[in-house]
Amino acid sequence: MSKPDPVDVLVIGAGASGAVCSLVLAQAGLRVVCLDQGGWTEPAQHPHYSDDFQYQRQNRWNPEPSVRRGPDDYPVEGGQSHALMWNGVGGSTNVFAALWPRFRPSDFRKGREHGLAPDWPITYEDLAPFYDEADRLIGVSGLTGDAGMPPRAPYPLGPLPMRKSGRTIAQGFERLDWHWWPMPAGIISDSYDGRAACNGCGNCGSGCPRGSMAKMSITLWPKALAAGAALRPGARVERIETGSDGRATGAVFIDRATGTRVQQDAAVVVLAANGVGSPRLLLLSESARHPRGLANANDVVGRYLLHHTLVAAEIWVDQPIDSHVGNSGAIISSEFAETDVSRGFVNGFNFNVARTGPAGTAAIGAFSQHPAPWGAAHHAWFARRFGHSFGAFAIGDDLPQASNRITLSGTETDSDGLPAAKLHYVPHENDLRMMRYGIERLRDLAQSVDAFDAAVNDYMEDGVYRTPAWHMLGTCRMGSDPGSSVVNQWHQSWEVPNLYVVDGSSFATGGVVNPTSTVTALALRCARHLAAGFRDAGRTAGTSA
Amino acid sequence: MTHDDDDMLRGLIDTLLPGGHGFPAAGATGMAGQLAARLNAADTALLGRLHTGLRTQGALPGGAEAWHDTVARLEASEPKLFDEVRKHAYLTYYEQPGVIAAIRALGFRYNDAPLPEGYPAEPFDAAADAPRHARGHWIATEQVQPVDTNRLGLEATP
Repeated sequence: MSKPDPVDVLVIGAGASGAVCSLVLAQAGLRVVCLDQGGWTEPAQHPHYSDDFQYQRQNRWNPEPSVRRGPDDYPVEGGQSHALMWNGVGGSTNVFAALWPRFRPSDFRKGREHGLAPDWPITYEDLAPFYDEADRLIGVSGLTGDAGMPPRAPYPLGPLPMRKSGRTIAQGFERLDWHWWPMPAGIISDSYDGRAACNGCGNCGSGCPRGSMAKMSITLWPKALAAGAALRPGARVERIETGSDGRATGAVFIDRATGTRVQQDAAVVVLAANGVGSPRLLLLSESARHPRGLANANDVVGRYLLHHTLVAAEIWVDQPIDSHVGNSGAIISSEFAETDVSRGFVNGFNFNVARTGPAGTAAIGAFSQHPAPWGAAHHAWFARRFGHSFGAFAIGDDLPQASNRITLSGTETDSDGLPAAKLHYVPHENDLRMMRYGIERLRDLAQSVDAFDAAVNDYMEDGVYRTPAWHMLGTCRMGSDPGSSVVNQWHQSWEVPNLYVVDGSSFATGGVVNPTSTVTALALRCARHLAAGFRDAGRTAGTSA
Repeated sequence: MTHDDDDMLRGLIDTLLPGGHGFPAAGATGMAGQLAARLNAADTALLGRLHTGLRTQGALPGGAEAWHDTVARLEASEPKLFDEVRKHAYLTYYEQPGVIAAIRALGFRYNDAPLPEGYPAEPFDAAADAPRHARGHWIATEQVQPVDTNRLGLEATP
C-alpha cells in the first residue's frame, strides 16, 4: 500500500459541500486533498449537444445510480425511493435542478413547535450570513422583497426570465390569492464570474455544460485547485481509519486506475459523500473499537433518513406555453409552508412549479406517469397537449423516523466488492396526510388556470409510496445531544472529534425546499469555523462547539 | 437484428405510432434499427421476449387491425414489457428529423438538441412580471410557539 505525505485535511467527496470545504480550507493555507470515486465530466460528455438527449436522460444520464450503473457508481438497494446521485467531480450538481430556495426560521425549531422532530442546534440567523456568502460565490438569481421569507441581502443576479409558462402559473396563484414568487435559482440570469448566462435550453436535469448552472466542477473546483487544493478523481474510499486514541488518522482508498490501495493520512477528515454515501462509509469503517461503524456508538448513523414528501400534477391548458424551454422551476409558493394543525398535520410544504419537458419526455409521461396513448389517438393527443402543460410539485417536510435508514447491503456490492447501500423509507402518517392535502391543493391550482386536464401523481404503486423525492438527508444528523445525533453544531462527530460530516446527512430536519443552498451554506459555515480554529480542531466535540 | 425482428418491430411501431396530424408513421422514419439497438442495450433478452409475447398474442404478420388487437393483448398481459418497449419507441420516434419537423409545424421553436442554440428569452421584466401582492408570512425564530397536536393523534415513531 502506498502512503503519500500526510495532509492537514482530507475531504471525501467532491460535490457541493466537498468543493466548498476544499476551497475555503485551501484558501486558508491548509494542505487539502479531496478524494472522489468518480471522475471529471467534460462539457462535451453532457447530452445537450446530441439529438438523443432524452434517451440519454433515461440511461447514462439517469440521476439514479441503480439505473445508470456507471463504473463510478455504487448500487443503492431498495425499491421504496429513488436516490438522486452523481459520483464524480461536482457530485450531484451534475444532475440537479439548481433550485436555490432557503430554509425558513421555523424549519430549525420543529422540536419547540411540535416535538415530532428535533430542533437544530443552530438557528436560521446563525446560517443567514453563510447563505448570503454562498449566493455570491455560486451566482444566484432571484428577486428580493418576498414577504414569505425573512429579509435578505440582494441577490447577485436578477430573476431568470418568466416566460409564458411562468406567467400562466402566476396568474393561477393570483386567482387563488395564494403566495407566489419567482424561484431563486443557482442558474445565472446574466454573465457572472466568467460564466455565460443561461440560454433556457431546458435540459437542466442533465447538468449544464455551459456553466450557467451551479455545477461545482465548473463554478468552484477551478478556484479550489487554484488555491492549492489537490483533487484525486477515481479514488474510491474503502474505509476511514482510526488510531488507538479513537481519532481519525485518514482513509484507505482504491486508486481505480491501477487497482492499488493508498493510505492517505490527515489531521482532520471531512466526510462529504452525501446522505447515502456518508453513512455507508461510516458503516464500512467498523473496527473492534467501533463495532457498529465509525461515529455510531449510539446507533444513529444512517437513521432518520429524510426525502421530503412529494406529490405532483401535470396540468394542461388551452394556450401554448412552451413547456419544453427554460429552467426547471419558475415559481415557488410558500402558501402552505408553515404548520397549521387545522389542516390535520404538522409541518408544511411548498409548491415548485415549472415547465415539463421536450417531446419524447412528454410522450412517455415522465412527469405525470401518464404516457400518451398509442395508436390512432396518439398524434391528436400530442398536438393538443405538447407545449401546453406545466408541472407542479408539492414538496413537504417529512418527519424523521429512526426506522427510515441507510444500511449496508448483504447482497449487492460496487465494482470493488464494497457492500452497496441499502435504503429503507416508509412515510409517517403525518406525511401521508400532508400529501393528501397537497393533492387537493394541486387540483385547486389546475382549476385556477382553467386547465382542460390534470394528471395527479401520488407516487403510490400497489399501496407503496415510491417517492422520487430524490433528496437524501438526515442520516448523520446534527444535534445538541450526543445520544441522539451524530455531529454537533459544527458538523463535528461526537465520537471521533477530528471527523466532520458536512453534507445533507447532517440535516436535523428537511425543510420544505430543495436542499443544495442549505448544504452549501452549512459547508461554508463549517469550513470557516474549521479554518479559523484549525489548531484546535479535533479536540473534544463538546468543548469546541 | 434478424429479418423477423425487423418485420416485427416495423409492424409494432407502425401500430404504436401510425402517423397523422402531419406526423410520419414510425416505420417511415427508419427508426426500427435504432430502436432494436436500444432495446438490446437495455436488456439483451428484451427483443426475444417481445417477439415471443407478440407471437403468443396473435399470428404475425397481419393487417393493421390484427396488429392493433395483438398489441392491445400484449399490453394487457405483459404490462411491464409493453411499457418498456413503448418508452423506447416514443423516445426514439421524437428524435427523428421528420418528427421534429412536424413538431415545428405545430408552431413551436424546437431545436434538434438543447444546445448550442438554447431558447433565449427577454430578461425578467420587473414591471410586467414582478409580484405585486404582499402575501406570504414566516415565523421568526423567537416567535415559534408550541402547537396543540393532541387532536392530531400523531406519535413520534422510535
